[in-house]
This record gives sequence, structure tokens and C-alpha cells, in this order.
Amino acid sequence: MSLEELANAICEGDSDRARLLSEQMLNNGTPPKDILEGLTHGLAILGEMWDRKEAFLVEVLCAVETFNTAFEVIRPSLREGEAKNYGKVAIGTVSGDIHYVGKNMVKALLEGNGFEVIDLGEDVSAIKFSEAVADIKPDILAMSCLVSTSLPEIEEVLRELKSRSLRNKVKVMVGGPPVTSEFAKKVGADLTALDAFKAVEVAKEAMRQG
Amino acid sequence: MTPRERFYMVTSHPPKWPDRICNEFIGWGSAGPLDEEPYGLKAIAEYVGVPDFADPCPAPPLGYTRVDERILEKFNCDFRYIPTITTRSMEELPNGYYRAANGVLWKHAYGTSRPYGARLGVPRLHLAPESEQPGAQLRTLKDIDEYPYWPDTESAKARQTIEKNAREAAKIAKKLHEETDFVVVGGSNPYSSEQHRFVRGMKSWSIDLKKNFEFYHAFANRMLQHGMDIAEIVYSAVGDYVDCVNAGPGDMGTQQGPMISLEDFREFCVPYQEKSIGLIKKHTKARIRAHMCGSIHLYMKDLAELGIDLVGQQITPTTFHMEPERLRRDYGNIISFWGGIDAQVVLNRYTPDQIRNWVERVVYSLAPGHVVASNHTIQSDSSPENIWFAHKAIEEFGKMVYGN
Repeated sequence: MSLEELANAICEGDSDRARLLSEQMLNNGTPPKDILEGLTHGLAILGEMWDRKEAFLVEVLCAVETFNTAFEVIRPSLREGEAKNYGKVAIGTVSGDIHYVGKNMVKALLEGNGFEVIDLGEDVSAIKFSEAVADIKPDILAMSCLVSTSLPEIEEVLRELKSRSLRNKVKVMVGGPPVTSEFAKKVGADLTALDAFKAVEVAKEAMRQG
Repeated sequence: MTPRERFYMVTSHPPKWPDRICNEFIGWGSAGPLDEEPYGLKAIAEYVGVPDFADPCPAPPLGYTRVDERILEKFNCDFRYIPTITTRSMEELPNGYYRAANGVLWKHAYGTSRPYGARLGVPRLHLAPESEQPGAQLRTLKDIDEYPYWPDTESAKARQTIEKNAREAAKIAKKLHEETDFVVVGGSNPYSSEQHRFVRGMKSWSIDLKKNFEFYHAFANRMLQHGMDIAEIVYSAVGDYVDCVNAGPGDMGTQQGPMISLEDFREFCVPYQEKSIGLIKKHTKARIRAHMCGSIHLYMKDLAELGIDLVGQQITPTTFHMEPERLRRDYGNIISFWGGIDAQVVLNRYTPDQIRNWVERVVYSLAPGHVVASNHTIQSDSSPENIWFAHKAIEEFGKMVYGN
């Protein structure tokens, strides 16, 4: 029973083992924040495997589910401030697009890496995105889309944020297959990433820079 | 050389050189143009001088549009199509959703206030969320047995309906086969992993595949059984008249890589494809082609060994290991490629010079084992000028490269 074993259980998507190990560690007096480190380490290993094309989409989805299962075991024991808190992210798929797999993957990996994530859902209008910025006050607003015809919606959201004087209050991250770094730059987004794991790195770096 | 002869040459293994490129650009074999603002099929039709084009899709599946015969002629398309045969048409529900075969729920992508959406009565639908899909709620083997949305393939009435639809499709196929030289496309796919995923939902499908093997296989076998029952009737009727059948596992890649490992592909996809394709080949000599989105380079050898002749369509440098040169080099002698005209970046964002360069690269790199087509549905942000420019470049390089 070690943190390495726990990380491996996450990596292998073994929910039963991850839950059991988390419970045993808690009972043995392992600090919950150390257990959380083990869980997060599992996702990090998987990220490296993803980069090497040794892990695939199904493994990531199972690992995220496993992480969530184990995290629920330790969540009640975590004292305030013990869990990493990089910042708050509001995430959604833009209007006209209801694809969710990529968006949910980013959401889960952000949560697994210490972000608080508010999921606005799919087919989210520019008004709803800007209301979320006003109401929730996220550090990052993350927008996802799958089809190229949804790209103008990203620009629409940015226009809406500007018109409500909210643009300078949030970092805007954009992603999805048709989103290129050139597009992100052109529309004035702050952050973009090629895949879900890179999105986490980019978000962390943005929060470090403040 | 006829379109049909051309098609059989480019889909033989190794492929042979026909007189010009085999062309399905603008055809609607899973990659036709949508019809929405700001451009769409309407703009294309007007641009090529067919403003009174026929109702594009009387029985809408996913908003894919059937293309008017005159437009196919303008684009020199080598392919013609027979209707898809299903056990039931899409059922509109009181909540505005649609229920398709196997119980899969679809919903409109856009809110009613959206200034644009599909025209011509063709609803643009997307999968409803997994949390709402009835198939995603199944937990036990008993649940699979009791699932209320399996197609009825056993009752005499249901079989008569399928037989009637198959006979009607066969009439069209026979006419096309005997009175034209076009490649006749049609049939039904007994089982695809993509359809399995639609019914179960992405997350549940993934967890089944990695953790609940018994459930996964029970579900797949049940889907396959119904699909085989339907396909048996369909191919008995149309088998002699079709040249190209759309089958295979369906989408199995993302742009960053394959969805599952090769080991998992062999355990969870290949056995069902062996049965599925085996049945099709029992009834027809048609070539089998597989539309498989995303990065599928990893599976190519297995696909060829399964008997799939033609595979695509996301042939683009923005998809992992799907560059045309790599595909031709690695697998060009054992399988042919379908697609190549990128609809995500090239048709909508490139300048005419960039479009021409891309078409030249694709045509040159994939010849001769290539059926040129768009990489996927042509979205409505591609202008008719760009689409026509791509077509002219296909004609130019499709003669130049093949002529030499």
C-alpha cells in the first residue's frame, strides 16, 4: 500500500482498487493531502503516456472516473486549504455545438489538478458565458468547440465580454479541433492548447503568472 | 473508362492506374455539404447554376444532404447512391428530441433564437447528452435483454417492412447498375463500434471496454445480431447491384490519436467486423469502404486484413499520422484511401493558391489508390468559390498526375 500503488490504480482506471487504497491510507493515518498527491500523480503519469501515445482516449476517461471515485473518499477529510487550489475555471461548449467529450476531459483533468471547475454545459450562448463571468468571477473562462462553424461563436463571446466591460476580468482559454494558435491570437484569446493535458499545463502557467 | 471501372481499379490491391482520379468530391457518402447559412448547399447550387435543386434530404438522418443529380454532374462525381435502409425512421418526440434506431436520442444543436440553422426542413441534429441516453442507463445483462429500443427484426410485420424497403432500394440500385456506369453506393452496416458508442454513451462505452468486458460483449453481440438480421435481407436484395458498401467500425480516432489501443481494437472491434464484413461479402462483390474519423493509422493493417478496401476520410496533417504521404507509404499497397480535401481548414480558410497546393499534394501523394472526397461533411463556412476552386484543382491534378 503506497502512493505509487495508488497512482498506478488511477493510471489503470481501477476504481475499486483506488477507492480501497484511499480508504486504507486514510485509516492508517496518511494525510489526505498526501493521498491527493498520489491521485494527481496518477493523472500526471497518464499524461506522459498520452504524449507517448501509450494511453488512449478510453484510458483517460476511465482514469478520470477513477480519480473522481477516489477523490470522493478523501474529500471530507481534506481540511480547507489542503487541496491545491490553482483557481476557478468556468467551462462550456459554445452555442451551436453540443460536443462534450473534449470539454469534459479538460474539465476532469483541471479538477484533478487542483482547479475548481464550473461546467456551463454545451450549446452555451455568449450571454450565458458573460453572465457566468460576472456572477461566478472565474479566473479562466474556457470555451470548447468541435466544428469550424462554431468558431464565430468564440468571437461572439469575446465581443459580449467586451461590451459588458468584463474582458479584462478573466483570462480566456479556447480549444477544440478547429482552434489553432493563429485563430486564438486573431480573436484575442489569452490561452489555447492542443489537447486536454496541455490545457492543464497552460492553465497552471497562466495562474502562476497571475 | 467508366466511373465504375475506374473505381474498381483504384480499390484493387495493389491499386491500378486509371485514366483520371476517381472522384466523389461533393458526393454525399457521409461527407456531402450541409445546407446552412452563410453558404451551404444552397449557395453551391446557385453558384453552379442549379438554383432549383431538388429537396436535398427527404428523410433526414443527421442533416447530411442528398445532392441533386445536376450538381453531381457539374462536379463530375463518379458515384450515385441508393437510400439507406433502416427499420424505423427518426421519431420526433414531444420534447423536441428525436429518437433513432436503437433508441439513440438526438437534439437540435441550436436554440430557436439562433439566426441561422438548417434550411429546407432538414434538422441539424446532434447526439443528446449521455446522461439522457436510455442506452447509457443499462447496468446488467438483464437490462440489455429488456432494453425496449432494440430493432424488431423477428416479427413477420417487421421483416416484411425491411423486405419492402430493401426491394425498393434494390429497384433503384438495379436501374443505376444497368442503365448507368456510375459507382453504385448503398447497403447497410450490420455493426459499428461507433453506433455501439452512440447507444451506450462515450463514458459508459469506455468503462465497459476497459472494465466490464462481459457486458461490453453481450451488448455488442446483441447489436450485431439485429444488424446481421437486417443486413441479410438488405444484401439479398441489393447485393448484385452495388459496387461500394459503407461498413466498418465507424469513427475510432481523435485528431490527437486513436481512441483505443491496437490490442483493444483487436479484442473489441475486430471480431464483430469479421462477422459483419463476412456477411456482406457472402452477398456481394462490392468494395467495402469504411468512414472512420480521426487518427486511424494504427489500425490500417487490421482493416485491410478484415477485407476493407477503402478507408478515410480525415487525411490531413492536423490529424496524427494521417498525412497523405505517410498513408501511401505505409499502407498504399494493401488498402485504398478516401477523402483528402480538408473541410476543417482548407475549404473554409485557405486562399485559392493554398487550396490548389493542398489538392496537388493530396492527389500526387495518394495516387493511384485514392477516391478523392472532402474529409468530412463540408460545413457551411466554406464558400462556393473555394469549393469550386478545389474542384477545378482536383480536375487539373487528377488528370495531370494520373495521365503521367
